[in-house]
Amino acid sequence: MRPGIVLTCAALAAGALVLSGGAQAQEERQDVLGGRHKMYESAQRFAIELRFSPFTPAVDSNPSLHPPTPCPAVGSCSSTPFASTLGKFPRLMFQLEFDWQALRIPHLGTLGPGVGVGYTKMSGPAQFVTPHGPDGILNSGESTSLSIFPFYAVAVLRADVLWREARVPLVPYAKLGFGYSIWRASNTVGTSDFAGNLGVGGSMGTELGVGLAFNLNTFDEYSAKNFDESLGVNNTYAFAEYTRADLDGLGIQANPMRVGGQSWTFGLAVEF
Amino acid sequence: MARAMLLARSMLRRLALVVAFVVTGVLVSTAAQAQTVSASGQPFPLRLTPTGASACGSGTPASACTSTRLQNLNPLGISYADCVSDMVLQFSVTLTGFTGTDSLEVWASLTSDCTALTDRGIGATAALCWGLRTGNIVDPIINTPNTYSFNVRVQDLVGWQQVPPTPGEAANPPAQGPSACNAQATFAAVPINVNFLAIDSSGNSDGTPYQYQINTDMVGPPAPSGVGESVGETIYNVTWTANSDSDTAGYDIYIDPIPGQESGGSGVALEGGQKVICPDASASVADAATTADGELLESSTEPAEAAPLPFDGGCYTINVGGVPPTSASGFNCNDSILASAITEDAGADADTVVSTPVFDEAGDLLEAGVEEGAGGISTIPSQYIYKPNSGFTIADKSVGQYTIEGLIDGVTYTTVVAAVDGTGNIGPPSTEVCDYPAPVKDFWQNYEEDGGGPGSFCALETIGRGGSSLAGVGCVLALAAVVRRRRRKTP
Repeated sequence: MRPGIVLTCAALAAGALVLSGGAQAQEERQDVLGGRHKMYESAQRFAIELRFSPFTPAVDSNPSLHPPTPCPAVGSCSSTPFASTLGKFPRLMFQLEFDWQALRIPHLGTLGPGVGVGYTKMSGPAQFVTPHGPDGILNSGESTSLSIFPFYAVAVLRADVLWREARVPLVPYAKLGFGYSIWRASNTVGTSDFAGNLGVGGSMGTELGVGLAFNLNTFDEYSAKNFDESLGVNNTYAFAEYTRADLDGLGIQANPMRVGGQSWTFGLAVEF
Repeated sequence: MARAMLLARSMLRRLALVVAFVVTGVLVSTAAQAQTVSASGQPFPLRLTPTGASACGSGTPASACTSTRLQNLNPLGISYADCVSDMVLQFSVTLTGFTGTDSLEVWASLTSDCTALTDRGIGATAALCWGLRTGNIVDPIINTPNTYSFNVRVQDLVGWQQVPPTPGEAANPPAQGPSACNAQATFAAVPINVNFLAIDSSGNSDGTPYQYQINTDMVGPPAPSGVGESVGETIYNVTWTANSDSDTAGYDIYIDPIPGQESGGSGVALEGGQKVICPDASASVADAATTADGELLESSTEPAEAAPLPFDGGCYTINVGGVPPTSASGFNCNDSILASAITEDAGADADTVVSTPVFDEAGDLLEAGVEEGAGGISTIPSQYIYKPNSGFTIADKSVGQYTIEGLIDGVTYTTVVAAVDGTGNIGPPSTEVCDYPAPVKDFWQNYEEDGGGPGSFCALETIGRGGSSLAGVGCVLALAAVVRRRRRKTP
């Protein structure tokens, strides 16, 4: 194991223990001041996640892509239409996920289905076919963009045993399922159209997510219990997740646009 | 005895009350019969041509002819176009209680109700009101309500707002001509009171007058600054800095050649800029044509040929073409009709600071907001306005960008932007920019040319095509089957 990873794990564990100790201390104090709250805990059935991620679709990973023949007079002669037109830098993707914690596995956590939807859009200037004007500029005043609306359905396993039984506010989790993203390529005038092909479509594939959620209840258990009493929210988390969507068609679609990709997703989650 | 005295006093008191009641009734009755001028059933003046015909077009009944403009363009107000067309406003008022010793006169003023003799120039060195040549009714005997119509020329109404006629002429000032339409000093709208007065034989205002306030605005807002452009495939983006003045309500974009009529496009290339020409000899050239670097290209002392002249003999702004810095592609514009258009500045200097006065009910000045910029009226023919049918190209003051679509690649288009006020006055055009649309490659074209595809199954375009909805159903079923199969494999 690499030393960096070891150090990171050690730091996380130490931090969790410290926070856990703090939480314990706070809990003891709460016992004295507000014992009534300790007795109440609403049923926990669902979870909602607000998800944000810097995202770059893996369009250029399509194995069917090849340099155009002959190479154009303007632009790169490569097989990276996304990077050469819209750039490699990531754009913000926003997602919303709803999970049903259908099954509680003793001494492990919850398991259940989840569905999610999101949106992201990447834009850039379309390039002139030939250099324009006396200065020979390449970037035109026309914009070109790719909008992606990802939908997915996953099975979610949340191992909250650490929190529930050891008061360690860390909940590792994993997701696995299917994704289907609707996409639309457009320009200033509207949906793109080239050689009779409209720039709209859908791509399907697999969805994978592995993450770690930090239970924010540990900062203020008294407020957390009030939150539970008033709104039924059991836990509030901040999380970081490695997300991977391989929208390669699952063998069903031929040559779909690879609008999935890998990204780090951050967000807030509540269980209720 | 004492009782009789008390009874007598009580009787006297009651008698006094009765007398007082009767006297009051008589007075009230007399007041009700005093001369009263009021609005008739037609609350807005009708719009007529100088010949008295309907200004709303043939076949339009006069009763429906309250405006020549769209509802979003202050239809009850007065615009520059109304003025130069020599429009006539037909007011309809009801007279009651005229006894034969009064006449009805119509006066206009910016601030006064014209009931005071001095406001009408009688016994004063200056008049605040000016009479309107309406064919006043003299000595009518009207005991019952009767409705009369009075025709008011717009030019007579607006022409004296800066310098009212001399006291001797106030009651019957000379008729105004087209130059009256340049009388407004600022681009902010000016409300004018039209007062219908019963005047007795001594010249005093009598009875209850009727006042109608009409909003006049004959100066368009200042030209937008920072105009730029960019082009794409068959498209042309125009950008500008949105106006911040209180008058602007939207923008018009002029384009030459007119889309769809490209064969009749512009002329030769011309370098230049914007210059201001003052018609009076003493002012001569206020500015000269310059290049982008400020280099003097030409100057002129010849007066502009456009008519009418500004009210105060002020200066004209003339675009002379060619403003390379605002053209993204870096080339000069053609000498189109947009570049040679002449605009009038309403008699103010080109960079005037305009005050917008705010008065209280007594007519006292409360504050004067300051707005910079030179208003005016564009004289570019309206057929060059892009999408002119709605009254605006863009009906939003805060907008600073517009994309013209459906153009022809390779044709050089010249565009200017002019601000439009809420009455439909189109202000002076901006400096022009020009460019030619050209083919571009967007992401989708690059992707397709590189071998990408939309996906052959479950892609939206597959489902959407005729006869292939079955493919969509099959897709969903296949997806469900895959899910089911994997679930079965799950222990």
